[in-house]
Amino acid sequence: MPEAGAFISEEEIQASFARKGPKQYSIWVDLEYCVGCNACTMACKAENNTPVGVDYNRVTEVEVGEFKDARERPEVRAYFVPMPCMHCGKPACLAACPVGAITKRKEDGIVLINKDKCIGCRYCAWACPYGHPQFNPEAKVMEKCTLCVHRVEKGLKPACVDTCIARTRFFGEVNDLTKLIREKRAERVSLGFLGGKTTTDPSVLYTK
Amino acid sequence: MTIAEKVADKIVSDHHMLVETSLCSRFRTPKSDCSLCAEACPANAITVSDGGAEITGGCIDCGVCHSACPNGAFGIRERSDERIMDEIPFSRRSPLRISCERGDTSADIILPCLSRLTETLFLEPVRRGMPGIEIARPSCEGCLLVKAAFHLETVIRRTHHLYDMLGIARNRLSIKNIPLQGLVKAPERAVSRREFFGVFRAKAAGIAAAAMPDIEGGGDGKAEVFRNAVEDRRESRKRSILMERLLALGAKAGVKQTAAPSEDALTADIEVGAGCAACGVCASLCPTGAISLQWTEKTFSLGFSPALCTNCRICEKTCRHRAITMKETVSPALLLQQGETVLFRAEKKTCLACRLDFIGEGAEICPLCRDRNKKQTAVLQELFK
Repeated sequence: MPEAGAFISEEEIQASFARKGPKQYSIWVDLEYCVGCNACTMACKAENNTPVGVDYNRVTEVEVGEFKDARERPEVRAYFVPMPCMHCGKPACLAACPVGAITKRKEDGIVLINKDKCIGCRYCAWACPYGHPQFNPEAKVMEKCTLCVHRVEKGLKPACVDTCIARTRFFGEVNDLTKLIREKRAERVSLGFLGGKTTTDPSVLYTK
Repeated sequence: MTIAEKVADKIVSDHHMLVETSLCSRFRTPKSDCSLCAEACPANAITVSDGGAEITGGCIDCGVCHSACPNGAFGIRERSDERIMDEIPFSRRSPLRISCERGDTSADIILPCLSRLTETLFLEPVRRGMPGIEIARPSCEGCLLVKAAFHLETVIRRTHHLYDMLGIARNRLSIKNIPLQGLVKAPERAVSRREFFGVFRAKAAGIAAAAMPDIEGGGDGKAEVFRNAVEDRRESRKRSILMERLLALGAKAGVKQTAAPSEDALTADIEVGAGCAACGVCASLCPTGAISLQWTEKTFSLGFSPALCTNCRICEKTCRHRAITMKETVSPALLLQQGETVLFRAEKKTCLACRLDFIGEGAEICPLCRDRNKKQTAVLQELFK
């Protein structure tokens, strides 16, 4: 069994979805203040009513640094990284879907799976550089974070953003978010995108 | 479209062609680049999009698309292959003469365009014991339907391979080149009944709509879900009538093992390699159901029925794991192979992480879970570098 090959070439992704919508809603996660409480995971689960094993937002723990010598100051710390869908500018999942069930909405840049079309083949999960889309064994379709599109359409924030106890998640248009980051964290900002900003053009922002 | 409009459309339709969208490769997957119908359509009346092939206007009822579509997505309401076969006069002495409307108008069968001919129509006279088929072909240059001309060559090439397999001499199908004739129009058919009633169509639809309750709005009003539409397989009439002829001829004369290049074969010789990840895309998207998938208690297997395969190559194009390969040369005798062959079989396992079934040797975690873990670790490491 081969591991996931680079079957979807970058050119193919570029060709299949070169244009980015006029607007891109996104989330900014300030990792400095995330305590890894998983309230966002639970809020998401309650809001989207996902079955066991399917989570649109998982918090991963990352250990950074190395513990070398106990007498010296240990250069170790842990980060908690909540990973929703990155709502990429050029989604690899969209290029990979064999039935064209995945769309990126022009008006808000949200990447959605059409569950009436999806045949549950998991190609999107193979293609996604974050391994985000998940298979729902009950409905036999793939599911992913929708950026709470049903709430966003009513003018509300996504459930994970509303619930965050440390106020470490912010929701908005990606350019507004960048301005917000500059205002709030001007001194020590280090803007990051998971996986860099190269292949799929992810939109979720991280600062640490 | 309301129900009344649909009824009116059925009664006084603009054209005789019917499109069975679920058989269209392009409807089933946007990865397919098939546009054979649109390429062959002499009137440029077909638009192919991700929603499948559609007759958008200007159809002249020539039926070339029926012949061009390998999957048999186009049906003909009036002069179908069966009807044309009824027109064949029986004779053991003289060959069957076929021509088009701008060719030899004294021929036994006159078609709007010779590219309308299908392999079935070349097999049926032989099955009936006629000495041969003679096509009187006028020069296509100068004909308004010239765009379809190339397709006749394709059909003849394919027929030759079928003849070879059945031990029929290729020269029983002969082509005689004749000069292009002017189009003779029957004067009494200046206004056809169809055209006459067509005038009333829009008005009739309006009146009918006003008179009938709109039952469509009362229902769930939802279009058929794509996922169910791909599972609901329609019979390809084109293939089934071809198979009837092939089986009859094969039973009579025996079948020879011959070789045909893949593009001239009506079926495919498929191999599934070890890369198969049991995703089932090939089986779900196959328009004719030639590939079947089975999960049993302990195994996963893929079955293949060459008699149903139309060589549309959806399976090859959509397989992400590139596990499906098609041989360059195909033996047409595969068509007459009864039943299913096993393409692939593997032991079934259940992933400890996602609890879903998978295949793979010596692993307890499915390849997708392993891959996901690897990718997430990689992106996170990069963020904190």
